[in-house]
Amino acid sequence: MNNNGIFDSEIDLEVLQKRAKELSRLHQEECDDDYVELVEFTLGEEHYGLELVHVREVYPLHVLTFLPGVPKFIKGITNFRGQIISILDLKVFFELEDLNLSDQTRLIILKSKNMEFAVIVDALIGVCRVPGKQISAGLPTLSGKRAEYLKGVGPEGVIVLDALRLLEDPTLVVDI
Amino acid sequence: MQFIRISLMQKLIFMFVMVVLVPVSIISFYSFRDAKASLETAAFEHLASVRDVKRSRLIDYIQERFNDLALLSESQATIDGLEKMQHQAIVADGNFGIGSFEYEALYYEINQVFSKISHSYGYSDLFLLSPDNGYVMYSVEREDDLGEKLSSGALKNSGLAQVWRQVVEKNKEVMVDFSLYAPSNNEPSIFIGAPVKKDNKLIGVVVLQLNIEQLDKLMEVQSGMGATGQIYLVGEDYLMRTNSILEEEPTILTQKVRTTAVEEGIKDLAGEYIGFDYNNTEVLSAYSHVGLDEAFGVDFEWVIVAEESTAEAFAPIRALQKRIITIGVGLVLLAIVLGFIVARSIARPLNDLSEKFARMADGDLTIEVEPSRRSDEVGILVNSAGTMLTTLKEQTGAIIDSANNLASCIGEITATASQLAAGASETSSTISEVSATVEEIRHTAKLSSEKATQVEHDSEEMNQVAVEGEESSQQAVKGMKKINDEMEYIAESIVNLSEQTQNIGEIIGAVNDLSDQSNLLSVNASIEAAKAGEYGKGFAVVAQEVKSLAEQSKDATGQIKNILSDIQKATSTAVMATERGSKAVESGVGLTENSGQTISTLQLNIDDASQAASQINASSQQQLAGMEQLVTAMENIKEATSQNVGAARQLEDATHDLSDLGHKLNEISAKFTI
Repeated sequence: MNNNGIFDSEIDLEVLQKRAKELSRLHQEECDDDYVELVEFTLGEEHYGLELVHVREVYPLHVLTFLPGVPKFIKGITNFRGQIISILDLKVFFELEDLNLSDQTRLIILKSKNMEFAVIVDALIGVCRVPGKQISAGLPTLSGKRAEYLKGVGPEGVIVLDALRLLEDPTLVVDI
Repeated sequence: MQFIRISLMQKLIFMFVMVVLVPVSIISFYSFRDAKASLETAAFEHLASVRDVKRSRLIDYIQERFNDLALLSESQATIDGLEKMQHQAIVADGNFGIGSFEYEALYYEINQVFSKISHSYGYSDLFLLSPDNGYVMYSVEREDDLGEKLSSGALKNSGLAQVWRQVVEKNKEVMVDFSLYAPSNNEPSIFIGAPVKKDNKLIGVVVLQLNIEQLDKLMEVQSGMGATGQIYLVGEDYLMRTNSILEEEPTILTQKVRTTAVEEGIKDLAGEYIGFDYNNTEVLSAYSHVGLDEAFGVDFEWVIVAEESTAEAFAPIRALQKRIITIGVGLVLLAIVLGFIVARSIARPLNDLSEKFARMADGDLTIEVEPSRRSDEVGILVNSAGTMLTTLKEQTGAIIDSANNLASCIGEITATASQLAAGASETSSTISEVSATVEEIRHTAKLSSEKATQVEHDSEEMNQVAVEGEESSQQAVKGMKKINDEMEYIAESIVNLSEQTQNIGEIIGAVNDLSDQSNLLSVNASIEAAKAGEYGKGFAVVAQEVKSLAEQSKDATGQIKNILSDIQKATSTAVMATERGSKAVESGVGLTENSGQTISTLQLNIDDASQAASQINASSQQQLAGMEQLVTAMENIKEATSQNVGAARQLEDATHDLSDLGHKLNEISAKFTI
């Protein structure tokens, strides 16, 4: 810097621009890492969430075809845009009470490379963005199978389930 | 009013005493007063005359002494004696050579003349003095003063020296007042002196010493002055100039007298008065100045006082007083005795008679009056009283008998009259009750007639009202039917409304489904947007908007649903209400029809009642007329009975008065005992 002006030196200007870019990129990366998008829903009285990246679609339950000789957590199958997919009842799977269906009942279709199935939920709330840091490790009160598929507990008591683990769980594969 | 009762006897005695006492008192008072005044005057006159006599005698006495002196001063013997003495003095070198042979020879020669003169006239002493220096050249008595020099010696202040000085000075006869003279044993002495001249030249002074006893004797009291009377002289120095005959000690120039008499006398006044003397004794006093000044031209003055004690002077007055009182008391006692005797003879029979009359006044007629033997007025009075008593007894007896008869008759009459009055008043009260009852009945009949008329009138009005009521009830029936029709129409409308609302409900269900689906769609859109990553971010916003719209429409449908359910409830309630209303209207119609019938029946009944009321009215009119007649009849009866009652009352009153009269008569007669 000299006494004649602020941006006299080209070298100085270059350095400053470079630094600004670095700073902005760093911030953006942090932002992307920070937030997790969740599809929020209810099972009974409790709020749950599934990572949006693993969700293909949400869909109303129109027709449910029961299948004989399957574990109880398999509710049945349904026709989804010309494709037959199985329906997992999470309330049975997590050994929760109150198994009734209502007009609010919805299907959330989960999808990975190898697997695709629907879970039945009592009511769909919507999509929300949660800061990743705010998702805490877990709760000692959540016992049983739920603890296995638990990713954490978000703000306002939303139980975040590990969708990937559900999709890759071999126990869910029914082989007849 | 008389508080103390004084009997006739006391009065008479009192009168007697007064008749004696008053004139005696008046006569004694005036006679005593006059006697006292004249006695006093006499005493004063006596004193004054004694005083004047003594005064003139004193003047005469002194005049005689001056005459003696004049004779002496002009006699050849005196002139010769003086010349010889003066010659002797020249021989003895101014000293007289007293005691020397020459003097004694001269003395003897002179003394033969002078001692004779002195003794024969009764002088205490006689002096010859030299004009210069005042040598006492000769003295009859030869006391210590002989040979003394008066101008300067021990005697220069004595009375003798004064005489010498004044004679030389005035060249005439001189008298000096009393003084104590030492050579004469210091006794009070009085000197008179005169000049002795030869060829008009003063060759000596001749002096006489007066005899005090002669003066005292002159003043001694004559008869008529009593034991306490005295006359004395007082000088201007308030000392006495004579010896008091009442005192043991000599009083000349020792006793001081400062009384009013002396004070006045010094002022050349004369008078008499009652006062106090120098011993504080009350005295009658007469005083006067002696008048030495006017008579002899001397320069001093005496006061002559004549006194007598009042006790002695007024002794006759006291005696007179005592005598008058003694006579007065005697007369009063005599009057009391005489009064008692006379009063008793008059008062005793009157007293007896008055006692008897007092008993008669109390009604006791049992007393007896004994006839008197006296023929004067008292006797006649007593005899007449006896006669009167007898007559009174007879008359009173007759009256008592009559009164008793009258009382029994009156009793009977009274009882009858009372019964009559009681009967009449009973009848009267009964009639009053009957007429009151009749009046009430009449009133009731009138009232019932009025009421019947009113009922008739009212029933006509009621008839009209009933006709109107019937018409009204018919109109009401019509109105009710109209209301029924309207109610049915309302019910139909409400049912229609209910159906419409159900249709709205179905439409709302469809809208609700649409909003659900759009909500789902929004979620899927969000998912797709998330999958699209950076490119789907704008779409995510749209999806969010869609979601909020879906939620809003859902809320709206929810509200509409609530409103619809309220409307449905309201309509069903309205349906129920209209049903109840129509039922009520039906029953109302029935009731109105019933009331119409009832009113008709009522109309018939009212007609019947009206007829009955007319009949009642007619009969009550007849009853009223009958009652009016009855009332008039009762009034007549009532009047008659009330007159009866009045008469009975008057009768009763009259008998009462009569009875009272009888009682009074009885009482009056009972006062008398026969």
